[in-house]
Amino acid sequence: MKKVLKIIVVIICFLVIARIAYVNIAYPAADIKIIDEDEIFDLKNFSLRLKEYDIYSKEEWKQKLENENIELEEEKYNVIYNMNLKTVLLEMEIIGFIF
Amino acid sequence: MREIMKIELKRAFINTKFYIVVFVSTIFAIGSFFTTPGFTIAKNWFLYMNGDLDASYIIEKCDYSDVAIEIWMPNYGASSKFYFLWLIILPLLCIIPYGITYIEDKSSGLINQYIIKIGKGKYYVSKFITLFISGGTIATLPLFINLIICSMALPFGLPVRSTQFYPVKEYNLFSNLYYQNIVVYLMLYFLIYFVVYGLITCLALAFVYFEENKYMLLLVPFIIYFSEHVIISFGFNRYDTSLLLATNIINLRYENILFYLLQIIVLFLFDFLFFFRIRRDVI
Repeated sequence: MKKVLKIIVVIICFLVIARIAYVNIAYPAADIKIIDEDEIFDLKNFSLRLKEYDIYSKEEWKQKLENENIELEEEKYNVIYNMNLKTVLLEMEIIGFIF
Repeated sequence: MREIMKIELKRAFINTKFYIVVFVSTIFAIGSFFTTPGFTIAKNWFLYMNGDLDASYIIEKCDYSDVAIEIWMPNYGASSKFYFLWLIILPLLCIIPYGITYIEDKSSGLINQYIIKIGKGKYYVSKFITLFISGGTIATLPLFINLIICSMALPFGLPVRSTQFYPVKEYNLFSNLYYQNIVVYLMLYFLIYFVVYGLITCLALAFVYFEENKYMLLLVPFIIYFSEHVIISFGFNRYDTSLLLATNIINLRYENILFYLLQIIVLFLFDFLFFFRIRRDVI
């Protein structure tokens, strides 16, 4: 009886480890990835390449929108964003679909 | 000392009561997984990975930031019935396998043989340490089991602060660690759980001189634990600092640390009464 129980426990442990390994390998990882220009990263159905990026401070972003004659969301809808985050403008290239 | 510790640890961990408590705790851990919104997230990911279109819309909106720690049971706190029920009866579960062996040794006369062979001091220290380890293990095991179950549903990764999905904010304890080194955070989480519930379980030893009925002793840690929560909630209006809620350090704020530490120190001193009153023990 004890031997059977031991075998069942070992099988369950093996299945659990196998499932955890599968999830961590097959699922698109949620870790933050630091990607540089020209680097490729894979999602489930497609891959992307980061062509170009520009980082703007709050003032720089406001200036850029003004230059391009685009109304700022904060002013149009009278919204106040407390976060003083930087804005990133990305240009991505889709380099492959997997069906 | 090593020999007596071995014997006592065997008594604590290799017995039917321990297996039953572990089984019940496992049911709570599994139930917590299936009755929280975390299960919905896990289910959608499963469907998404199997090509379900509706699920893919939901997952795309989630921005691939779901990790196992997001659906871990302490994350959902009081909204999970299984987790909350487990949290309330936890001192009872911790004490069942080993908590009343001291009284049983005393009534059966086994204590005399122990003390003659190894001495009073070593016997009491071994009892205290074993009960501490037994209580701590039973408290942390379901959390670990639930984390394993969650890891089977979602990848184990770093929570992303900017998503605002997670309950740990800047004012919570070890918040930076939570977003930068989740493994260390989890180790600290388990350690705090282990120590606090180990100490709560040891209250049964301290009260052995006030109450000799073993069934009453089983209830002592639970009564103190729950009444402490009620007094702090309704008396001091600081419900989020009681041992019941704040030991889940996801809820603990930096401003409440002193109050929380004070409770642990008082608990430790109470536990130490067991050693103080040894002299009055008549065998």
